[in-house]
Amino acid sequence: MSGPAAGAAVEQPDSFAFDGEHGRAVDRAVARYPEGRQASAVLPLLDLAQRQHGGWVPQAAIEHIAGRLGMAKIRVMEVATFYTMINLAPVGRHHLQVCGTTPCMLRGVGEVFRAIRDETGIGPGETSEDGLFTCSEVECLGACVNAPMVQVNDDFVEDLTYENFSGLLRTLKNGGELPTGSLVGRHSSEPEDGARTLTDVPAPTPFDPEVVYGLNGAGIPVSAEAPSPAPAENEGRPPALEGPRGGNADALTRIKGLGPRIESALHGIGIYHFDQIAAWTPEEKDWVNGALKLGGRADRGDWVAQAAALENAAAGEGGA
Amino acid sequence: MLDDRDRIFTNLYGFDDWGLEGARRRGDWDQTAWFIGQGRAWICQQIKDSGLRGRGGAGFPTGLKWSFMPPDDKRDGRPHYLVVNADESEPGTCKDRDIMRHDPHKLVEGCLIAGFAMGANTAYIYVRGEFYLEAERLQAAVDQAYGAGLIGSNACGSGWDFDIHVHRGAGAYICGEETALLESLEGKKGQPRLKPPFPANAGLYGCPTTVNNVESIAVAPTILRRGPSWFAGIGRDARNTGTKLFCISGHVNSPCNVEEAMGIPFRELIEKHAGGVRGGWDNLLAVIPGGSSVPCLPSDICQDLPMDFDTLAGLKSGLGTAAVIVMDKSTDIVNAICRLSKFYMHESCGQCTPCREGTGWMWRVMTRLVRGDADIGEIDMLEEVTRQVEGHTICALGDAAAWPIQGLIRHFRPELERRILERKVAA
Repeated sequence: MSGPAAGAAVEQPDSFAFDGEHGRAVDRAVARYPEGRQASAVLPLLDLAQRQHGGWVPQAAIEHIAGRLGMAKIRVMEVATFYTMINLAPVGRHHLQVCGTTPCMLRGVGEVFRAIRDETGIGPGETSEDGLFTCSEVECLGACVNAPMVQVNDDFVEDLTYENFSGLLRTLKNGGELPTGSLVGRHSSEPEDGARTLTDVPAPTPFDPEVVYGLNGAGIPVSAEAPSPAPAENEGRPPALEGPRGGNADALTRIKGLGPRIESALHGIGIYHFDQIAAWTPEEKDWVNGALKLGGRADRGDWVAQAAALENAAAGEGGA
Repeated sequence: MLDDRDRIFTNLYGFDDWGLEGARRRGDWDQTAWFIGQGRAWICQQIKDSGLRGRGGAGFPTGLKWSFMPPDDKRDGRPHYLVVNADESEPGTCKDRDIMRHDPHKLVEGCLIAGFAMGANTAYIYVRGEFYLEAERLQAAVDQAYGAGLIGSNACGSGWDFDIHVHRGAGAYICGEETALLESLEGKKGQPRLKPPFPANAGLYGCPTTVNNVESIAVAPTILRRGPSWFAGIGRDARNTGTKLFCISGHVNSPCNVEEAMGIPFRELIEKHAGGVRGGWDNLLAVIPGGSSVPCLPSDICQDLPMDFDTLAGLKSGLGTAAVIVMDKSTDIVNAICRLSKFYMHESCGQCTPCREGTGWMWRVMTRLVRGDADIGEIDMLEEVTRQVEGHTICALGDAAAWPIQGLIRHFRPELERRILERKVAA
């Protein structure tokens, strides 16, 4: 399960020590774990060693990390060989980690491998002679709706074709900047032809414990005073019923924008039927809006008209 | 279609500011201290009432899981830990990535609330190593939250001290298994532990620990804020509630991530959100409805299929992580499943013999079945071997390797036989 392994040919440096910047990052990493649990920092330290040492971890670094964390060298070594991202042999300056798992395969990862072969002359597991590129086939990288994709060192490049990835490789060969993210102009994981959802998200209603939990709610006293849905002055309050007529309330949630929470709140102020809502005057609607802290939902969704339509439909069905 | 107002991840695509200011505008960090003031049991009860089931694949009720942590009067002095599983590696799945890079404060706030609900003062978020930029973004959000006093000592002014640490893995699918993740977090190879003891008794560093998926944690604050009945009111029935992030990949016209109601019919999901199957609905061959580990389903039973835990489990598949991999009729289905067998062979940790040996054996037989280079009887032998692996390993990776092959044999046996017979005729 590991990355490129240490072969006999790998020239190992004699010693390794973290430099200033990486050394400070090591201190921060070690401090994240409780006293006596410093071994937890082994992966962060291997990663830092790899970054400092040009993309791979030499044996001297394994020894250094073992000393720093008070671990046996073999324990660090077995971790280093277990995880695919730890390279124990040098890799090219641009490590092309091509996702080959089924979602990328279905979207044509073969074209990506063909582009790499044509532009750099290498295949999976090989490094180009100029040391610029190493190609590895890796398992799912978690960008499946942007398949096929490749991770180049730390960055993801997505929505690849033979043409756009060939172009990217030529850019890198010429010393250019790596373009990141989608190469077909997508912002992230939205559909390519534009987002179909989240196009018109209204500002959320500020949380009010009394509205959410105070009415017909969880049975938890929210404040010292008993929660009351009606403000002191009842002017503008719509006519209330003691209970639903015939014991059957209408399914008020059929009104768009009216969820179960608001339905139970409406029951709390004696509103059970479409015809009651259809009959609200503007003043009554405002009163409900204020009392239940609806934030103007009743206006935006025109609940009065919706209720009237639903009432008519129900009457029609009843008559047929 | 779910109304935008009922969506939790309103910055899923990252068009808005990911930072604290944008998060507050989207309703995060709104009176967080009030929830903490209601107490541990109250929060667990609200999450139970919402019907939230774990979003990492297994679908275990989240509130119930939290309530397994030792209550305040039974604490024995060991610290409690919340560990968030952000080792998103299930092929097809890319939802947690969007949460971390576009809406990280939902996760950070969720950690505080969930951590408090289980009596934990520390959370570790284990992010898969390949998500380097996502981990950086998440760390930046954590730093913002520390800077604003939202976490740290006396988090949000609630009186509860809470620290969050981001920990990066280094490329091992198995670390998405909760006990392997804990081993990895302790600085060892990611090899799953035998259970019991369960993590709620002896998890990270031998202390009570709960491991949750990113999405399960990130939806918690919104559920509390809108009330459990709101969340429970979305979905097909009381056991399959709420909204869910779907990742639609493969042969659709526009692959995407989308948050939809649990139980949305498969065809509606594909046609409304992903632009339909490539080449038209009739060109659909099969679908893997919940990430690579669940068995595939053929097109004829997909039409009105409600996408939820219990419906899919009833069809011997599963909702898993809701990573929907669509395959049209141009797909070499045997090769597609064979590639998954290779994946599991590569990712087996090597601890249990049935999995270590079985995944390689299954992959080798699958590569021959792709070419038809086998005997008819070997199909049954392969099926038999998947049963020998399934249920005979410490963790579920053995099961996950077996199920896609079982699904293939269950639904596409004629295709396997056709290849074998054609090759025999040609020889």
